[in-house]
Amino acid sequence: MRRTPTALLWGVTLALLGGLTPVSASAQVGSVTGRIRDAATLQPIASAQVQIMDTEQGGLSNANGQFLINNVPAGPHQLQVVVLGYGTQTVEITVTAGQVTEVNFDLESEAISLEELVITATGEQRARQVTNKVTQLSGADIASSTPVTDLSDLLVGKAAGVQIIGSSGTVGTGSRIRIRGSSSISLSNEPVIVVDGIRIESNPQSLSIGVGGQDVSRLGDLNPEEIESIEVVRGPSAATLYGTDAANGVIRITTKKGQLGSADFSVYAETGIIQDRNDWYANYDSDCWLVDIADGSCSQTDLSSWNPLKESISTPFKTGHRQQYGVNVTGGNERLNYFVSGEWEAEDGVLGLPKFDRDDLRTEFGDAFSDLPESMFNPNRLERVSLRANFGGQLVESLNFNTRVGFVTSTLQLPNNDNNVLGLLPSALLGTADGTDDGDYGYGFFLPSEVNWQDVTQDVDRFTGSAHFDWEPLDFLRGRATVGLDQVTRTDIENLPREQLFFGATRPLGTRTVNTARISNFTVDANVTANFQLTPTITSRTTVGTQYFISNFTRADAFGADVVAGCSSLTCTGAEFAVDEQTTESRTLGLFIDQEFALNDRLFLNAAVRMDDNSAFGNDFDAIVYPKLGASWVVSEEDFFPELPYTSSLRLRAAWGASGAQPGPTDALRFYNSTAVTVDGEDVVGVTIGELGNPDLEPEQSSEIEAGFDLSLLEDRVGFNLTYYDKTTTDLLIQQPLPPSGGVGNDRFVNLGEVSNTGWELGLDMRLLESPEYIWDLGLQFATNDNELVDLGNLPNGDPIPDIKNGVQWFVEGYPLGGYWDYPYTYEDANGDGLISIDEVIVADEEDYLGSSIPTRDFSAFTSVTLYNTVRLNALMEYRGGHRLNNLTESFRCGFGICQGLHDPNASLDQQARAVASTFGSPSTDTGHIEDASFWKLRELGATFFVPEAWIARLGASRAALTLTARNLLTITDYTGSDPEVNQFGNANFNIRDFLTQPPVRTFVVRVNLSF
Amino acid sequence: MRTLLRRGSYLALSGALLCGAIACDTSDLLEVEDPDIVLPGNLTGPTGLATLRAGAIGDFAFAYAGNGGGTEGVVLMSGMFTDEYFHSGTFTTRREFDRREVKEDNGTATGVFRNLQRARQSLETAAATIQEAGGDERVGELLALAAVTYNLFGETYCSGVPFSNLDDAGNLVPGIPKTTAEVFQEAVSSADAALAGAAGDETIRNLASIQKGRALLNLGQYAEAAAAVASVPTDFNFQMTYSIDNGQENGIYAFNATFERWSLANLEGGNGLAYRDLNDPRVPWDRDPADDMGFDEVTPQYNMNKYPGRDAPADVATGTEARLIEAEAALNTGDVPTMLARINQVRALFGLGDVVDPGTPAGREDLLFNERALTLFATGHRLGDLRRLIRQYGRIEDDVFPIGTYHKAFPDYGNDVNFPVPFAEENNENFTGCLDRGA
Repeated sequence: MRRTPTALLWGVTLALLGGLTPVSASAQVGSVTGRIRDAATLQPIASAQVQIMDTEQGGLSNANGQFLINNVPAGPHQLQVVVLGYGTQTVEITVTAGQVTEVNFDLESEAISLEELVITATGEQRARQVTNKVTQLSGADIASSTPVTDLSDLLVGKAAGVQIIGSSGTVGTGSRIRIRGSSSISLSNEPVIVVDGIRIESNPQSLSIGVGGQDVSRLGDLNPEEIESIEVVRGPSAATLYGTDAANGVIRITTKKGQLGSADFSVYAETGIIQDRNDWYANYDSDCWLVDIADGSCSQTDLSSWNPLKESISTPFKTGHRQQYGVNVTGGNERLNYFVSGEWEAEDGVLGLPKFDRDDLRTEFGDAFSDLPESMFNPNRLERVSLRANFGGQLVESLNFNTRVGFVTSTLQLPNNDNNVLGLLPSALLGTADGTDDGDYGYGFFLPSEVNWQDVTQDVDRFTGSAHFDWEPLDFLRGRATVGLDQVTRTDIENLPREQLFFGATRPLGTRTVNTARISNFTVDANVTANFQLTPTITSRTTVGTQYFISNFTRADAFGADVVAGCSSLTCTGAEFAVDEQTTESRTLGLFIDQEFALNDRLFLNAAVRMDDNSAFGNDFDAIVYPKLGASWVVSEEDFFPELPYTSSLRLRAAWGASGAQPGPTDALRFYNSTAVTVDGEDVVGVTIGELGNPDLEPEQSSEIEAGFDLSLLEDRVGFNLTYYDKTTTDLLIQQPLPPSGGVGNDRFVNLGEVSNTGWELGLDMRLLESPEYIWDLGLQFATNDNELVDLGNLPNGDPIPDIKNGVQWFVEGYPLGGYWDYPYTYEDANGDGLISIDEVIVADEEDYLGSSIPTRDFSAFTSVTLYNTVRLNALMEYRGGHRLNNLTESFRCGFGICQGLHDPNASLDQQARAVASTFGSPSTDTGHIEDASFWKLRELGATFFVPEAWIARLGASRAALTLTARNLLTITDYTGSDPEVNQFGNANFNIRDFLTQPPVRTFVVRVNLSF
Repeated sequence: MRTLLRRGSYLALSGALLCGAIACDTSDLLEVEDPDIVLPGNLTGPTGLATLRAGAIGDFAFAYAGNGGGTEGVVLMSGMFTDEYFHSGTFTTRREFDRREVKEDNGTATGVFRNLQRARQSLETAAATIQEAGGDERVGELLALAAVTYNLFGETYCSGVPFSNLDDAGNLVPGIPKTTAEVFQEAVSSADAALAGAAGDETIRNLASIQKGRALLNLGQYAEAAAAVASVPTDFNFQMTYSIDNGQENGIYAFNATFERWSLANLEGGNGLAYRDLNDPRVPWDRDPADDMGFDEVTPQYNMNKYPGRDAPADVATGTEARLIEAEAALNTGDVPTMLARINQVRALFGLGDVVDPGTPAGREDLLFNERALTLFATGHRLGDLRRLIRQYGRIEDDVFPIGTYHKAFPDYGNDVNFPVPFAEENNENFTGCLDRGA
């Protein structure tokens, strides 16, 4: 067993913190101070990068837009201010020894800034140098305009081609992220997440105890309040230097660093309510089904319906609450800066206990009612504390450092739902139309007061720390090194007291499960860049680098049953003990060289190559090489470029590059798994074949070409960008189903086939109105994705590999991955009686393609209006379309004989036909329930009131803002289920269906920000 | 130019330092260990072979009876398909079995087939490995169980089941589809090999003998079948054993009594046997509480108590089967007294009185097959018997299988008389589908 070098990292960190001795100041120095504001709103701009160009002294402006740079050598200098979304300004200053020089900046907003800094794998570059479309988001800006709860809130609708696909409204569950579609059939399609230069754990399915389908994403551990900026590196052409695993793109997150000036305290408080406002199906029953009326075998005299989720006596929904309180302090100078923050947050979901159940429990337990476990009344709750301490500065001349340390501890309580007979929503949605006490108010399998005894929690302690060194020993040579560790300790616990849930043989005895996992990601990243002035017009930038990455996962599980009453510990269990242990480790070593030539600082040509080796590659496969080429041309600065009206700048860009995705740690190996068996009445250990293995296994390889332009118009008030991409993934790592007749496992990873993703991405950012009183900004994002399985490969004899069928989601050449397939049907009310009989539904003999399971078109509009520099209103609308969703909830309800289409003569013919097709069809088909899932959603509506300084001066505060935000206010869709975004399978790769899932909820939040 | 060279040399030096630092021996940097898995090379020596044998038997026990509620075994699915069980659950894939209309891509069907093949593969691989190490009676035991799997394949699946295997290098060699008769011939061969390898172990010899007789019966070689089982004592019972402690539970019990997704049938589809009405001690049952409903809240729940607990052993091969094979051989030679004697010999074991000659050939066939149904309940024999009634006794499908209106509000019973080979088998280049879906 290898140990990740935690001690080493701590040692480095402590050494750095202990070694923060200020560099001795020269007597011939002065200071530079000032403040930075938005020229239109006159609001201060925080986190602007202020830098003395020749000495590279500088830092970030504070929340009041102020900065202070000490120890600046006396004499003339250039002072530059760079900030995302604004034009860069550079001014000449002269610093006088022992004096303070004041320089103020009012920056004009720019829809497209070619000078803003982009953090790339080879260090910071100006946007004009980058040959790909990279989206930069300011976490500080977004968080200040609207309360955000997780990373998804920061990303949704903000970057064309980036889909944030949620699965439920369960508190604490995460989202899938898809950038430019899905490339892999069997491997993860999630992007790599890099925080402060190190890779972090971002598994969207980080839960070891099944609660029916929902998952926890480790991205949810990131605190948006700590995020300075996010860069979305979309595809292989941009992510080549990130190496194996970056084929799905990279999301690079930078946490806040210290700002220049005296200590600046900020506090914030947030509270809100969470409600379920979804439409839910009612349960139906009758004494004569519609198909029986239609064929004349009976007539209906009694029709009843009951909706246990909506009726006041039986609804399990309550109003959930959200609270968040945080404080941070930032300050420093060019020698040492700091950002320290702490936050506590808690959020309760909408599930609780119905009134009838609560009353019954009160009667049953009497005084002990209040001692019932939290899960009984509040089965979905998240509580989290986030701490961060970031330090940076200058160790010695030309050697800068940053140490960034974050710690998160959280407890998440999860309800049981989805594909789960022990779930609350399943019991209601598959219940009955009997709303009486005798009929359990319509609940089927179990009452909420029974399922809520299942107490499932996840405790997480997470440390993410990195140390970054930036060394410029010579004026042309710059080296960077980052070392860091992201370590998650996760404990999943299920506690079920004895004699409370009577299902199966074990649960009535009471059970206890404790699964403890440790997930470690260790990164070492180092590179050196040399700049050359080859000719007066041509410059060269060469970078060589290396990266070493270890991903380690260990988990130990323990289970026991027959729990002593009143005890909730494994110690108190007496039977059916089970233990398990898992260990996986993967290591990647990469080298790269990147070469850029610049002509007149307008035309940039880039070529790079990365070579990777990985512990998971097959024995018969060696290292892999990923190449990259790109060009960026600010053509509008060329002499020949005509003076076009309204045009400020035009940049053309194109890039081609490759990246990969690695197999799992043991996919190449042939091995057995141990198994406990009973032979001749004795329990012994045996082995059973685990995987057949494949010694030739190599990574999936994705290559991509993208081309586009960035156009700035109307004095930079309008920015328009358009990008086309064509991504091809070859040597797909497919879990090819093995012929079951081999009896050696379900499948085997092989490199086969090809997937293509093509699409357009369009972004339009506009300042529609700008006056001293009003500012109106509008941002539009539109993206398409055409996903196709081009080739599935061949069997050894040359025959094509058969389609891969996963229920109604298939993988078929010529169609999108995981598209929906089922038997089509037609229907006709031939006799015009308003009823669909079994004979009036004709089901085809063969399945047909019904549609993509992933949205193929995305559109979002974000707008904000600022009034009198005092009030800002904002809204985010999003459309997704071109896809379907399998409404298995309603199909299954028909199978249970409780759907409206089987009973209610007022049901539409469509409803009746699909109920008949799924229930009585021969073959039965869910085609009618695989519905168009296109939707428009008003994701967010908010208002912020910037309190006038005069009002808050008495408090000693320098800034204050009050924000009201509502989320998920409106959904427009033809989808007939509860919500077109739900997924029973949580964040699974391709399995997508609506099945008894808690849909997204509506939230209203009020937040106060104060700075001192 | 000099400046460029100087700067280039700095870069080269820096790059070399970076690369050199990791290029010295990258194999160490990329070396990982996985302590959770067992590599084939570890399965040698007495301990390794014992582990291999245990795993193979465990695979068989799992494929045969399933486990404690998650995975169904072949006994459960063939019982659901025939008249032994009603479907009292909600899974649509299981309902397809109850309705005798199973799609090739039915996930449950794929799992059952794969697990049975895994058992066969594990048993044969373990037997070969032990044989290579010198061989002992375990070879016979493992091959006898492999013969059980062949019999189950022949009785349960359509004609055209392939059997793929691994070559010495561990590569999968796709099998050629075999006709039903060829599958039973494989069972005979495996049983013969088991007898040869039994090394005087009577239990193993009896198990192998019954499998040989069962296969020969399926081939219509009645006299040979009777001869094969002649030495098996009537009270012989070879069982798979199960345990609550290690999680390898008897799924036949769990799916029926614990989770109430299988319910003991009675006169299913008109042609089914009256398992409950007969109140035969070979198929004990109860309904507790008296109004108990299955998991679907629609189907009355009846629990079969032949296997009365989660860790109850499950019958695989019994001496009663040997006597009934002899009875059928007598039936086919017209030796009615012997037939009745063998049947009554079995009945006596359960404290039942003698049966008398029904007087007609059809009546005698019914008598024999009903006795087999009751005696061999929940052992995976019933589907093979119903198919033999069609194949060897000239009955028609509508006279032996459940037909007509399905017991729940779904379409009528379908027309399948066996399980299809799953769609996933088309990844075998030699397989294009069942050769024959008939009995």
